[in-house]
Amino acid sequence: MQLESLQIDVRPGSHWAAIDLGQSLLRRYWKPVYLAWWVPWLTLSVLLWACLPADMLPWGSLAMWWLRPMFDRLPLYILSREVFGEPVTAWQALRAWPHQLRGWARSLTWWRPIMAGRGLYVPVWQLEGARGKFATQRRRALGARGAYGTASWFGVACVHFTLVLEMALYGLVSFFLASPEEMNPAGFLVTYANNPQLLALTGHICYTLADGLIGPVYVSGCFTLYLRRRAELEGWDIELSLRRMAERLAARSTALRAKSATVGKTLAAALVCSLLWFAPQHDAQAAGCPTPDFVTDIRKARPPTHDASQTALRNDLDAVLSSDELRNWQCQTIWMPKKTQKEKPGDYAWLEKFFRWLFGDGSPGHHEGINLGAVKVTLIALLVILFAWLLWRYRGPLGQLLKVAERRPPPPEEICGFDIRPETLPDDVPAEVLALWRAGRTREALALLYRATVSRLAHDYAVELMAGYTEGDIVAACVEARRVGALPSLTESGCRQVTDLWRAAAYAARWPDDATLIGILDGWRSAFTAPALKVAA
Amino acid sequence: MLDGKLHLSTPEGITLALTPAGAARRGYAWFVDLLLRGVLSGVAVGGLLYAFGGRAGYGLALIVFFLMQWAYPVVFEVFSNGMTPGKRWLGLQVLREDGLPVGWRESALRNLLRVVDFLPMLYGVGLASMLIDGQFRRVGDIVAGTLVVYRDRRVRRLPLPVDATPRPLPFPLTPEEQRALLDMVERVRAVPPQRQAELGNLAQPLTGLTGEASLQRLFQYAAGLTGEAKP
Repeated sequence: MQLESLQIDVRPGSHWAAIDLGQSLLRRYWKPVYLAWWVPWLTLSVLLWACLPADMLPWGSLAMWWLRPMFDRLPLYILSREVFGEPVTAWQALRAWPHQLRGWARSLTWWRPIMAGRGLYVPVWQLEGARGKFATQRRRALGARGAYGTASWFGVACVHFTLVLEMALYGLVSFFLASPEEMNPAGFLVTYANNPQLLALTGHICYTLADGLIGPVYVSGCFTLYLRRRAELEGWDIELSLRRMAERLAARSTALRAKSATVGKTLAAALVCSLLWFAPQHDAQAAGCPTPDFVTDIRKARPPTHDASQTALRNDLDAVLSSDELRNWQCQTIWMPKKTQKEKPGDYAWLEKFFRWLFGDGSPGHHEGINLGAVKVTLIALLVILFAWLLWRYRGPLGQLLKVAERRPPPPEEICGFDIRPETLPDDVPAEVLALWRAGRTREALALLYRATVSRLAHDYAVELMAGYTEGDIVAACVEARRVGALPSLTESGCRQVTDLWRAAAYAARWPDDATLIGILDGWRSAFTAPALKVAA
Repeated sequence: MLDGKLHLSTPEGITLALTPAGAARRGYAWFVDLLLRGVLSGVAVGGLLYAFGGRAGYGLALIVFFLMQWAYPVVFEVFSNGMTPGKRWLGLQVLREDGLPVGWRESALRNLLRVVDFLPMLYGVGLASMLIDGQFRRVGDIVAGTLVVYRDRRVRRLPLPVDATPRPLPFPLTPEEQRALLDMVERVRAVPPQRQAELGNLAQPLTGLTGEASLQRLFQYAAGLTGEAKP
């Protein structure tokens, strides 16, 4: 029993909430549970119907009810393994069933079949294998503090649920049989009250359906109540939290040892003290994990170091940043399928069938005098061509429809503190820039140039820019746009040039000489105003 | 991890855990309400027939009967914090899906749709819906956007079971771990002695001790956390 792999929360709570948890568990594993239940359940039901004379069928339903404790062991077998993360198929459960039936005579006799809370005690016999006086002790301990009472009330409720479903089925049949004027949910029972054979058959069917649905519900509810009770008695959740704490302590101490080898002790202590509170929980295995690619890529992309002290500093920083508390990646060991799932054979069966029908021996065209198959193919081909032509003919309106869906929000009015609305720019930007430059208003000239560049990018080339972008972000957006082919490389390099020029001037007061500026302005004219390259915004 | 709870986060970053209540408990609450409504209607109808007699009494009795059928759940849910007497007795409460109390709209909607849930007979649709839905909602709940949850019981904190001298933690614990430690210290005496020793051994990486001595050390840590040690 691996408590770590437990799939449900076993912290103590109310007994009724524990029972409801069984419903959630059943919902997760309903397929194997209901399959395993229904194979023998339906077989028994059909056998009883076939073997018993019609007027004895109610006794058959009673026998099924009486054998319920045997069926209860199937869901219990599956759920008790699934809850610890061990997958069980319905077939495995059915194979194991005969072995699980030990003690059948005991559970079918005396008052045991009519004990409403028996579901709480079944695991003691079936899963714990307790017998005799010890089993009695176990049952007493598990049923204490109102647990058995709750299980009994739940059992009574489940009996009523079965009845409700049976009545609902009768009602459903009545609704379908009745005329609209006289809807009566009990109509079926009233109409056929004098036909006991029919009533016995429908009763048998309704019972099989209803108890086949409610049976696993009862077993799973009692099972989770049993688990919670046991967890409470034996402190499972205490064990789990202690184990987790010890695990974290171990992971932390290995990480600490690794760190103190590389970094000064004071730094490490300060970092650990301040950051431990925010550290996410890591698995113990994470300690010996290789550095992921995106981290090594970032490290490789850095320019070479100037001297040995910088190299040492970088190594220290890398060591600190890849420590347990600071890294932004996580290492996990998980199971992956060896092969990806094969395509199901049934997926294209209909297509194959269609072609067989079209061209095969039994095809409708074959027993006529002329080859109707060829006519059929021609007609289908014509239809396909017609459809394609229609698509082509109405490509305009269809394209409009698609465009509406892709409409983007308008670019912002201001980026980096610049007003980038096109109407605020002069008609001939390079001439205006040059005029300002010649007049000695160098800063204004370069600002206008940069503003015009950003404006063209946002409005003419539809590069997606946000209001909060910096110069660097804009260059990055240009690179991205060129990569996807939305921006010509000439424009991208122009943008880089202007950005470098502007940054050098604005932040470092390094001004270009006249010849450089004029060269850039000429380049700008071709990079940003070539109408052939314009993209409709 | 299945915990049967619905975790809601408020904008302040607080997580509220609601525990939706299953079909059995809700069924009992409905049954209690049914009995209560039956008794109340019986008394009221008998009284009216006796007081007014004849057709007038009969008419008034019909009105009372109608109100008992349709107004009873709505009025109680709106004015009594989402609880009809049956729900109150069995510790249930109707809330909106976002954890807020139900208003007229939700309550009226979910109770009107009882008609649908009652189909074809005796809440067949409602039961099927509750068995299928992940939060045990019947059709009325799904349409009205409501949930039936277990009401929070007031938790009485047990006193720490030993006199321990407070001791600082060996290493910083996360808030969840601190809570788990306190929880553990409160409950560890409820498990059998052998198991207590086992748990003490499990705590060895934290305490450096084994068995009972290890547990005592845990108690000291807990006392250090709560500051509630006895002198």
